[in-house]
Amino acid sequence: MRSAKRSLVAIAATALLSLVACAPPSSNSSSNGAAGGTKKYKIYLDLSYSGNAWSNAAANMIQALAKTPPYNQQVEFHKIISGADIAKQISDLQSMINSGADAIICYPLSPKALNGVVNQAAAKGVKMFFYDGTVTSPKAYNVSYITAGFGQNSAQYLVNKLGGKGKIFMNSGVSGTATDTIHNEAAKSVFAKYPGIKVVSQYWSNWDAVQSKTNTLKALAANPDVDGIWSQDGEYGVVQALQQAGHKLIPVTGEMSNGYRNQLLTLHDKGLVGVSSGSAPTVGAYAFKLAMELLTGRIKEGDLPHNTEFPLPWVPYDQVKVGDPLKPAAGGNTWPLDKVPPVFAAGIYYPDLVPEINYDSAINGNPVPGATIKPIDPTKIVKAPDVPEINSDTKTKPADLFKLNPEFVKPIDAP
Amino acid sequence: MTAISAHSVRRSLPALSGQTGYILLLFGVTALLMPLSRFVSPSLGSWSTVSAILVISSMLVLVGFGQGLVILVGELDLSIASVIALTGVLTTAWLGESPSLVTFLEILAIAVLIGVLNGIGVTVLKVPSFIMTLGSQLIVAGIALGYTKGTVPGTTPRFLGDLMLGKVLGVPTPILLLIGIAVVGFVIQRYTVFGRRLYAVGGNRATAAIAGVHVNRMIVGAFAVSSLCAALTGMLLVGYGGGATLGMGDGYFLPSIAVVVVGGSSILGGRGNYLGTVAATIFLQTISTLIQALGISQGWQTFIYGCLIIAVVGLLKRDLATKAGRLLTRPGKS
Repeated sequence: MRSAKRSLVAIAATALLSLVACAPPSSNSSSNGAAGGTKKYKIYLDLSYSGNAWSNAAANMIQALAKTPPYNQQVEFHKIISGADIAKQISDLQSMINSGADAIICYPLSPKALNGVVNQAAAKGVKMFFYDGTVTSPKAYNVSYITAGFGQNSAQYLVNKLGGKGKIFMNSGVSGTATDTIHNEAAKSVFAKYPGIKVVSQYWSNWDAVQSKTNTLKALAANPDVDGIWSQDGEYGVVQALQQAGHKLIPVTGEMSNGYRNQLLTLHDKGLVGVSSGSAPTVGAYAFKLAMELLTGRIKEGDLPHNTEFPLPWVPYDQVKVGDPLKPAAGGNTWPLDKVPPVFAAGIYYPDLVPEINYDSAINGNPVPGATIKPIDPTKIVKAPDVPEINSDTKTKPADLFKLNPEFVKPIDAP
Repeated sequence: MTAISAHSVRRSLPALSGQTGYILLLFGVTALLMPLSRFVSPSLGSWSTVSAILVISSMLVLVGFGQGLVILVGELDLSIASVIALTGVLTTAWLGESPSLVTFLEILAIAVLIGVLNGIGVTVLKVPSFIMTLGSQLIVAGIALGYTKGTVPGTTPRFLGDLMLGKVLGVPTPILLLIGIAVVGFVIQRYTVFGRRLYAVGGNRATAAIAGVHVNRMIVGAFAVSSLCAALTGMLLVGYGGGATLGMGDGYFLPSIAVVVVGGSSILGGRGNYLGTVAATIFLQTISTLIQALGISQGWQTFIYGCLIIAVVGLLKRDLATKAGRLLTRPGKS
């Protein structure tokens, strides 16, 4: 009886693993726009995992643009969700290429694994645009904030708030990913310049607010005398951990969550200071616009760099401004927590690059009534540095990769 | 109660007392770890360390209770992560906007329904619980993703935030909650008819059936309680984390099984004590806090944690389980 049960357990475990491995990702496609006689550009959006607020907002803004004139007449738009499986993403991209795509906008799952399919696309003249994540093949276009200096600028901000000395935590993201690695290296390059700065704990919370809270609570238990916390996405949970532990509020830098920006606003009189920076979901819509500029010939092939930089958002605690999601035209970089969830990536407005979207576009994928697509000013396109293993097949790392942006923060002298 | 059922209940009780030593040992090792942890970091072992560990444990002991009952009847519930996420989503979406007792009960009823369906699948359709709950896990996750389209709507109900962040007489409420759950869970599992019948079903289904226990009903009940516990955990997590995410239950799936097994319960059912699960929860959270304080890379942290779980179950438990087994077999085998 027991041994029969045991073998059942073994069989079931095997079945479980194989079932999990082949769980079907969801997919959906929609074409859009009035039927016109002119040839439409066939545009595919390939998402990886769609189950988080950031990727959802990014996809929604892309879809909103596809419904905005004149794109609604020019574009036949399809959305595919590949899930978190690289093999599935490759085969999805191949299908898109074979079905006559003019351009593919894609959130890549790996910097290197997609290079083969990028070559296939290039051979057929399909324009491939990757947003937020990047690929190393020079035959694709990357549009990303990844080289824009999140790590070093936020780290320097923290160091300045601490007067160049103190014990700090680093709340990192998903260990082993290119994004996590470059941010950590950049931050540590700053911390290393200050002998008085001691990283007493580094933990990886997978860019999740709840895991960030739990890990920060554990770190606080071991180091209650911490003076500041440098955090990637998940910072909302970091501040909550300080409150839960009854710790005094200290400088915490972080990314874009609506919850954190609200904390900066409501808790700064109790000692919380920090800067909200990171990756804005608007980057996907910007990539889509660049693809359309290329397809329509407004930007020439040679004029668009392989790596385009998306600007780093930078909202220090004293620049947080609450907007009204029902009146998006009035602007704002933060939203009331009773209307917008804390994990929503709050900074979506980039009037220079993507003026056509608003809060409703990000949440519901609706075009802004009356909006039309504004061409991109070519002088606003910023070439991003080529970084080996991240967005380029070069071998040498740029010497000034971790330079500070003087508009954001200037280094102080070590005490 | 017939003579046979009295026998079957008696048969399971020595197993309980045989485990008491193991549970005390687990609590003792945890208590010893506290002062020893000062070698890792001088600040560890303080009241704030204990407090942080107990707060984090308060949610896992609740999931562990439900999972423990399912394991007690010889099954497994793989759907809890999705149930946590779905109820978390519904808590912010429905309860955050307009808190009411009716809505609160509706959300719990949905969770119980998922558990009942799991149980019916396992008992009536004879689908192995691995497969049944794996399927329902995907279905529930799909519903949550479809309902939210990725962005979780709503806000955190105030009472949940107050509950998880508040203090009573200087003690964080989650710690009081943990003590309450431990006592109630122990009593339900050990002293109620429901609990005793679960032991009987887990020990030997045929014997239990002959003794007049509705085996299928008991199994369905265990799955229903497991889902209910996952739902309550989802609500607590919303209060704790200040919002819901679709991945909020992910960190509870494997630990919910680990705490039951490290706590001395048999993965094959019929044997276990909820206080063991409670001890194992606090023990494992203490270990992970210690490992994190070592300041080593994530890869090494995960590696050490995995090795420790195997070491505990494999070494510590084998010896005691053998002794417990002798206690068990001496009067029983005739």
